[in-house]
Amino acid sequence: MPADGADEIIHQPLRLRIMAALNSLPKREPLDFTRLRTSVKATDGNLGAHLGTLERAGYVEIHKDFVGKRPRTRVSISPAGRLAFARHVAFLRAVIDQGSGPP
Amino acid sequence: MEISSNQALEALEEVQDAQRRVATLRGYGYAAPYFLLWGCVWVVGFLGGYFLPAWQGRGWAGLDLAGFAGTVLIMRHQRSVAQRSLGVRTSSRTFWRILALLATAVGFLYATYAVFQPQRSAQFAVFPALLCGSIYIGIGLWRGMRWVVGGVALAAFALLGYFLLPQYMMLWMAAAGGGTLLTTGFWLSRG
Repeated sequence: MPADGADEIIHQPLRLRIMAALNSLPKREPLDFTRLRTSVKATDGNLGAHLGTLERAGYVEIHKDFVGKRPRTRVSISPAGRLAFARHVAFLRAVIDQGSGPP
Repeated sequence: MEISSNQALEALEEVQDAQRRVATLRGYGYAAPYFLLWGCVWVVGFLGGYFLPAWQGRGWAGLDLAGFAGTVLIMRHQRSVAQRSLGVRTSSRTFWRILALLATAVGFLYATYAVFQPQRSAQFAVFPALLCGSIYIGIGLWRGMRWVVGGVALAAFALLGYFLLPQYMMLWMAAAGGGTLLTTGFWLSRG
């Protein structure tokens, strides 16, 4: 974990939106793939690729099951993901507070 | 990682925007079953009113009771799902507030009928749609555009039927009124 809390995996714009969306849910509550896609304004393929990156980093958990005969995919943020997201948001706030960094 | 304060600000705005969108979509998901339930009630009720005019009084009373019972069942199910997901007991305040809002709307409806004494069945039919449409528009100003669109459509269809097809108002409200509720329900249930 970077010393300053910045997380390059999370900072990518779509992944940041994904983590923000999932972090806003109550603990352990997953979000349907379709609703997540609408929330973060992504295409199916794009969302799938970035979810794969976040899953490999241990930040999200992907749950696949069936509702009747229809497949369903839901995504939830992991405890490690919540911590990493909170740290990254704190980093962003610190940057704003300090007014630091290159223009 | 080095980023500017402007970039950090934009990132935080993206975070807030995503969180707002999730909250809106979750709200849609919770509301969808109620639209579907009451859409069915309206279709059956207005069709009954058209084909069996003498049935209307008792028929609507029975349908409204069934609708309330269904509403309570849906709310209990949603609360049970939320509790299983969170692993803790959730507050019943929302449950009672929604029931109180429904009771208030129905009370207002019947009080208005008692005061203004509508004479034609088309008047009885149009008023609930205008009332519900206005409520949905009001809710939508805070909870999302799909509520507003549903509310506007419901009120507009009701007025169209009242002024252009009063002799077929019951049939029109079954199709257009009940249909609008059902369509809005399906739309709310989707991502």
